[in-house]
Amino acid sequence: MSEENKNPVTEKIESAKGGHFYKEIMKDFRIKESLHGCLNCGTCVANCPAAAFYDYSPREVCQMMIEGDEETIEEYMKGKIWNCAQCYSCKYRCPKENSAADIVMAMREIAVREGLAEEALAGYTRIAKLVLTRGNQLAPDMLSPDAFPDWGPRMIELSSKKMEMREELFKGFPGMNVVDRAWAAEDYTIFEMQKIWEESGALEKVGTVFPFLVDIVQDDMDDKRDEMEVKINEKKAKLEASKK
Amino acid sequence: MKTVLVIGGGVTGLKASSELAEMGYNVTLVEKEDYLGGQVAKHKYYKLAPDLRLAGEVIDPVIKAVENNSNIKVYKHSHVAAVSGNAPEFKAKIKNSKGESEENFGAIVVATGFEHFDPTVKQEYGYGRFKDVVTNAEVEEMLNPGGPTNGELKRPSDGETPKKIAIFQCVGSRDRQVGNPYCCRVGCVVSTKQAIEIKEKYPDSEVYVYYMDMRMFGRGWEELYGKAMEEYEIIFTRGRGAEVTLKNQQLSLRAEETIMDRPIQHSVDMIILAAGMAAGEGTIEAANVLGIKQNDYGFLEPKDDFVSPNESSKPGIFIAGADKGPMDIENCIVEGAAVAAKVASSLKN
Ligand SMILES: Cc1cc2nc3c(=O)[nH]c(=O)nc-3n(C[C@H](O)[C@H](O)[C@H](O)COP(=O)(O)OP(=O)(O)OC[C@H]3O[C@@H](n4cnc5c(N)ncnc54)[C@H](O)[C@@H]3O)c2cc1C
Ligand code: SF4
Ligand code: SF4
Ligand code: SF4
Repeated sequence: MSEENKNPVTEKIESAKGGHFYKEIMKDFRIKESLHGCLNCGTCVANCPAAAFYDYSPREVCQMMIEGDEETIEEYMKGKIWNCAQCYSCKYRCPKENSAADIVMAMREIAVREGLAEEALAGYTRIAKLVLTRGNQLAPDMLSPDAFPDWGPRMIELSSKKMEMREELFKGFPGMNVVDRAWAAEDYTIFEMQKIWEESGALEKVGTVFPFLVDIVQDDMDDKRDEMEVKINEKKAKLEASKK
Repeated sequence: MKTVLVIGGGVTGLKASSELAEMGYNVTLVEKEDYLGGQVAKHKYYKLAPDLRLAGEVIDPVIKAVENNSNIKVYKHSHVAAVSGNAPEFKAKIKNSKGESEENFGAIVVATGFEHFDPTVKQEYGYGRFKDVVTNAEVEEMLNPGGPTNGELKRPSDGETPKKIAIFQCVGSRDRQVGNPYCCRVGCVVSTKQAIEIKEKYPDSEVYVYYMDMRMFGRGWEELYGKAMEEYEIIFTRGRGAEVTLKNQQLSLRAEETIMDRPIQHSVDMIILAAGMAAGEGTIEAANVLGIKQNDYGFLEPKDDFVSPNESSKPGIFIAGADKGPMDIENCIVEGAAVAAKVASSLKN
């Protein structure tokens, strides 16, 4: 077709619904409970904290799953769905009892599984590392104006004095006088947590997005293993004794 | 000649009673309040959509037709406590403060109507918490010169005339969260009418309507909607009112402007909730006393919506008007006449 003959009006995206990602999402048990048609009323968007700050819309999430266009779905799985704060306001307000929150959660899990999440999650490397090695997800140190515009200017201003403030606030609580994590958890607690991740398969899943973190965690565990196994056996013995 | 029992003295019951009396039947009309006219009278509806005719012009003649007809016996402040028997030989116990009487009837018409949806349960709208969030029924009372504010729109908090007014559509309707997925069928035209009345009285005010669809299917409704936009510059924003809070001592609403794809916040002086219709306690009570079927929302269920819309699930008991579901006045009058015809034909056999 020559350039002049092209229709200048965009073709309507027709409901396709045949795509791989679409089918994977629809298979998830949560979807049936989370999408009952959509009035396009915008109640979810009006209440959504993510929509207030980012180019994100729970209404769009619902509409997109109704239309089922594979390309749009893939694009969302790579980008927009990671803006949702999982606060569930959309679900408790939607007049059709839809839940963009649950749709997003299902899409996130599938995105991780299907290797679509790496780029979107790259910015969370530090958080993931902190959770996996210290048992905290955020630390005062991580507050930077670019990363958290939604926390507001006051928090950013305060963050320059965070160590002084913490020392003042938490006098007598040694675990709290840190800024590289929220508080210092005991080694034993961290080890136990890491073991749970390992045995439940969660660590493996993390590895699909952050492969190097798996090595870090395993090294961390190896360093502590002997000491911790002794402690575990001590605890087991104590438990046995208390049963008698 | 048999006597017909009509339960409910709103516009439907009044019309049914006077039509039956005209045909020569004796009618006993039982009304639980001490006035006739139903919700129109209770909330002092002032002007009716779409013609902005005075409500009194429509309702007063219907009331007079009943009061002046010697074939109709009216019991106000009364209720039907028990019914026994089968068509066409019913016995009903009518109770009021003066006592109790038992009468025989050939047929029963239920015209117990609706109640305005109580928006207190939609906590996010702040009704009951913020004084200046009011219902459309309360605005009807205010706009009536015979009402509590002598026809002035006033903010309950300080008695001032609001300058910026927002109207929320579909409150308690089209909403699975409150168990009412149905459309109230009148909210759109009533809000448009109220917006025009407000602009007419206070040309400097700004009126915003937050809606999902403007359902203007009635006679002259779409034209009224056009007039609201063109002549009165009422602003219709496509997005459902989502939340009301206080910001700097002023009401602040949130919604999405869905056409523009953006969440907005809007500070206004007063918010009117277009509260929909719910099956009233009176309808539920009547259904229990008579043992007739209700639908999922408490409204009365016709034997067959298409073929026998005015027959209940029980022979000899007939239903009409807004106790069957949301309905406007024009259609209630049609229903009142239709049920009268149906009763007459059933009593002939
Ligand atoms: C606003 C805010 C900001 C935060 N910021 C940070 C931060 O920057 N960095 C950081 O590391 N942490 C932060 N946290 C803290 C983090 O959320 C908590 O540390 C973490 O959630 C604590 O985990 P928890 O399991 O001990 O307790 P909780 O999160 O309270 O979870 C306890 C769970 O146990 C359940 N439960 C209670 N009793 C029982 C029972 N008898 N049987 C079974 N289940 C039970 C509860 O229902 C609940 O689900 C923040 C928390 C908040 C609220
Ligand atoms: S759960 Fe996500 S989509 Fe829903 S309101 Fe919260 S942030 Fe928005
Ligand atoms: S609140 Fe529900 S019905 Fe309204 S736009 Fe959002 S998903 Fe659709
Ligand atoms: S009539 Fe209008 S206000 Fe009432 S439920 Fe229907 S769309 Fe909403």
